[in-house]
Amino acid sequence: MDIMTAKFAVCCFCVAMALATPCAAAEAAIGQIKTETGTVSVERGGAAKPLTIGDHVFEADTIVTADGTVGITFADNSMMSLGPNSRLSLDQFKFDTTTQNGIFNSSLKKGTLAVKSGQIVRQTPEAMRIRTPAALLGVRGTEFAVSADGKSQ
Amino acid sequence: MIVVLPAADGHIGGVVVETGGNKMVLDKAYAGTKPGSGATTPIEMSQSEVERVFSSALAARPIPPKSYVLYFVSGSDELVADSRPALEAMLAELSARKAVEVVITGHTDTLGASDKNDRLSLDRAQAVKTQLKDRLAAQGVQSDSVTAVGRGERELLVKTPDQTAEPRNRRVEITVR
Repeated sequence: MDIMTAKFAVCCFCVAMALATPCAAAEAAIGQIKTETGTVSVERGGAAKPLTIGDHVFEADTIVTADGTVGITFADNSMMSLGPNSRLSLDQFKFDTTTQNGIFNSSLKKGTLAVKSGQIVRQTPEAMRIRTPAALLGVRGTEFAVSADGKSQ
Repeated sequence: MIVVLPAADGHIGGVVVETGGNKMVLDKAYAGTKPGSGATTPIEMSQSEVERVFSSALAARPIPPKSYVLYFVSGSDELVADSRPALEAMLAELSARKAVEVVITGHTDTLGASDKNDRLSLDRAQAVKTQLKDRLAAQGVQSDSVTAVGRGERELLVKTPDQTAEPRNRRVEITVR
């Protein structure tokens, strides 16, 4: 391989990587918006955009309700719904549909959240964790609600 | 506030709450705690307070997922006659929902190697997905909202020892959510 061929090969590799990266970033949706009232948005990759029923949510999204409410069903059949003035970060969601092993970590920064756990918790109790400014919840199942006042405690 | 709610299916596993170095388990309906209150044991929350604080979040809950179990004539893609009503009920459920996803899960019995059963159950689920494509599309559910899953022999409907033929375990479960 001469130097030009080598440079071309490296260049091709870089282009391939650059093309591959967005594909890797376009990960599978982890949940879908099922209910919504009022104004609800998602913060994703540093930008905020409005959410509507049918939209998908992804790992690392932050869901923000202003005057609205929103309900989401996740890939493991767990469900979360937020009251107004809430802020929820979907920090980590891994789920293997065959084994139902997984992990679901989220943070309620402020507001009110109602939860029903799903297959991740049924397979592995406490594999779902929710952090608030004041507490850390390990979920064994199935339905509960949590509020956070938004001030650090 | 953190509070456990009564579960529709009656199953309450509970929530382990860590706050300020203290750890407590809330494992009864309406057992709760208020972080920052200094309490180290659960208290019983009043229903009226729970409803006042969480009424909007509770009202926003999605319709829970609903599952239908279907059986096929052995070695074919033909539904057994007894499963036809379940299929029709599943299709009817689609129109009750605004944003619908369908998960088609194949299950096997314990006959054969477990990794082969993973493959077999996924193949069956994918075959059912293909078979139902037009009927789902007629209800507005396109194939990108339909997932085929193989659970192999992990979720037996009827518990059996390994290497046991059991037709009731060879089934397809369709979840609408």
